[in-house]
Amino acid sequence: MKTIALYVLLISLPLLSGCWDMREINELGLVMAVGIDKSSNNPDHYLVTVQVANPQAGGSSADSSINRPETIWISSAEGKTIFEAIRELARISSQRIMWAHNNVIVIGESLARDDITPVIDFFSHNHELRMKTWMAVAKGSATDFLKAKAGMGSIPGQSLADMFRYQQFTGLDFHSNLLKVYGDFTSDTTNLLIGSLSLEQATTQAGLSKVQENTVEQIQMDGMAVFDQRRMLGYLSEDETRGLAWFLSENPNMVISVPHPSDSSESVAVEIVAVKAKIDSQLDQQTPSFSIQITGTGHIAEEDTTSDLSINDFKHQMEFLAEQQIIEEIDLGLDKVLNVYKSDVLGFGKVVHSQHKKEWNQGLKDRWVQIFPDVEISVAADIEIKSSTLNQIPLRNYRRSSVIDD
Amino acid sequence: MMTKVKISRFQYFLLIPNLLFAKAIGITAGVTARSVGSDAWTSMSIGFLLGTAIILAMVYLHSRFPEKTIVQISEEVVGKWLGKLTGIVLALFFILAFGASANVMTMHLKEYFLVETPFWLICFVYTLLCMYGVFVGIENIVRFSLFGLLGCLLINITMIFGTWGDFDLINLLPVLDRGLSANIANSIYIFGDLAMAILGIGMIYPLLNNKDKTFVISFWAMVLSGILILIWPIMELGVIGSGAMQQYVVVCMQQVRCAQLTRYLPRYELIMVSFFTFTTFVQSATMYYCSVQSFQQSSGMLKNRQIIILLLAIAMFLATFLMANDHNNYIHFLAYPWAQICTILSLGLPVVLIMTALIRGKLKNKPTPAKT
Repeated sequence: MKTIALYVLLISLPLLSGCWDMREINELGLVMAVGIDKSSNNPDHYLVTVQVANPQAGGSSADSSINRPETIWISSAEGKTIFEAIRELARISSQRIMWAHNNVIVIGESLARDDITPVIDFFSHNHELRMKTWMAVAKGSATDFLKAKAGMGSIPGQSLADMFRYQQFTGLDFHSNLLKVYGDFTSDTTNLLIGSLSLEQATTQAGLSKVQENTVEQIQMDGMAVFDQRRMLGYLSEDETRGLAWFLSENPNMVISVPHPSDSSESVAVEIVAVKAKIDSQLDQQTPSFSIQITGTGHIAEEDTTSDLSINDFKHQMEFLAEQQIIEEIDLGLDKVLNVYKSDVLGFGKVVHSQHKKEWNQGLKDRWVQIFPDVEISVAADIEIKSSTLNQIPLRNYRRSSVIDD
Repeated sequence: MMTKVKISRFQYFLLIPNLLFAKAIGITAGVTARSVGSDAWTSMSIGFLLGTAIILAMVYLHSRFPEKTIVQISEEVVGKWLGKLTGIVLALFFILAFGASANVMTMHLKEYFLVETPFWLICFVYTLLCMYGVFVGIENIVRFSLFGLLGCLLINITMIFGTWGDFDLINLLPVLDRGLSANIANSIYIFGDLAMAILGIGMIYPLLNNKDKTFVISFWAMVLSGILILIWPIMELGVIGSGAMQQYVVVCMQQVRCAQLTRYLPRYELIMVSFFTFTTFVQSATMYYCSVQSFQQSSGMLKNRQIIILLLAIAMFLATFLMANDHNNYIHFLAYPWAQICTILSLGLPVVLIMTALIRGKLKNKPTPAKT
């Protein structure tokens, strides 16, 4: 019997070599970014554009720039489905397309306004792709964005991913990844919010010589795109996006400029950290209303004028002004979402469901789309300013003699 | 007993989480989410509580018949022929349980790593591996439980750290959204996993070299299993949400696709699957072993063990291949009738045997546990 077992194992050895799924790394074309548009030639077709890294371009700096190949290879193909278009790419690519390292999926505006289901369907099906891949809607054609410069890196797809990663410091934009988009897409009530991109003319300068200065189109993050279940309804501006970022961002760290209590023509920069948002819902005869409570800690980061207020008075006034500004910002974003787009992209339906499950399951769920635009939302903020960040007295108040006199 | 193989109580303790973990964390969680949405974790928790009670009932039954498998206990309690019929039913159950367990591994490989490799080949190689395990003996299979449990701990830790940033508690709310009765009714899906442990213990218990405190050991093994397993539907719901869970066959794989440990370790599915391999092997190979034992004991073919192992390999391979050649068929099978079969067998058999033994006065005298 041992002999039989030995033969069985020996026979199985060739079957265990893994040749079926062998992929040599030098044969792979690593996709850095992908753009999906509706074809301009045939509206029923998709245009897929890929940005593929070219490892041969990473040679030594001694290579002459004339002979050095481009760091990325960009190509487009059309197909009746996204998958067919990608297969078409194989006809012009010398390397096998691999999605595992893709950083960004850019969706063209015309496709987003039509239906993004095929995009989500294809990329969530794709086992190679990471669910944390960034997603964005291009204000225009996705192909143009894949050809444009992004950030400082030599591979725009990677630079774009870095821009998504570090945008949290401004609060002016919104980063969305496939995981979040897919979760909202399959949610009963929450609609999609996807970050949007625009192209700006930017001046770049190679080296120190101004002679080499030229203007190129550069990608910049630019607010959010609001969807209903599957179609884009429109955009939110940077200010409107910022209003929603107070309770949408995972780790908001926002800087607000508020008028100085002593001189409203001057500003004080306050950095708000440790922001927490609490959303509560109330039901009054099957009509829901919401209260949003924002709490956070503030630090005075910059003060541009003189002040005769004591530190405590100054802090209290700054807290009040900061709270008012936060409420105004949030109201601006909510107003657009509720009154213009009428789309529950903020998950208010989920809040009602979790807090009033009986009423939700007894009919509120079915009427939610009609009810949502008319819900009342009250916003309150509670900011505690804890320090004036290093300076004890405003720098403009500072006089050497006064310090010595004290 | 046919063999003099013995396992220690520590190995027994380690074996129980290994018999439960592999299929429960992803495939069962997905099947349950398709029925009760965000209540998947509460429904599975209720099933776990019921399952713990049944496992303790099974241990109680064995405490009265410490040197007998459940097939032999059946013969003693309900009579020779009914006992043999029970043995045949259990042998068939363990073949299908092997298929359900083996396909946890084959589906991971087929759908995420070896997408171009023919499915039959993955099934064949995995069956071959488990057959080798059964050839060398249950003691060797059970020894892998330690690696299996360490793997379970590692995969849980890496999963939690990698997905914690995307966890949203609101996805788990409201608790018991579909109501308590719906949660209890849908807890049958976890019995697809619990049955492997309950009936597996029924075959393995006599191998214990020391049967003291097995009640307590089994209880704590179930507590550990509950913690290790229920963290998955909780995290899966919190991270990918019930809607997305319903879309995928191998939900745990989808969960690890979302895991990211800093930007420098953006994905590590393969590492996590390697942690997962030992526990899946222990589960599958134990089901294979239990099928061989049931078949031998009910048929009386005690001398041709190796031939039976070889013949059953064909059944195991066919069960695995046919069950999941189309993954939708696999999921439908797990939802119906597999969950119902498992619930009836794992709940019904211990209860019927205890009740019958009680009526026939076979539970009166507690035998002295044998120590070897």
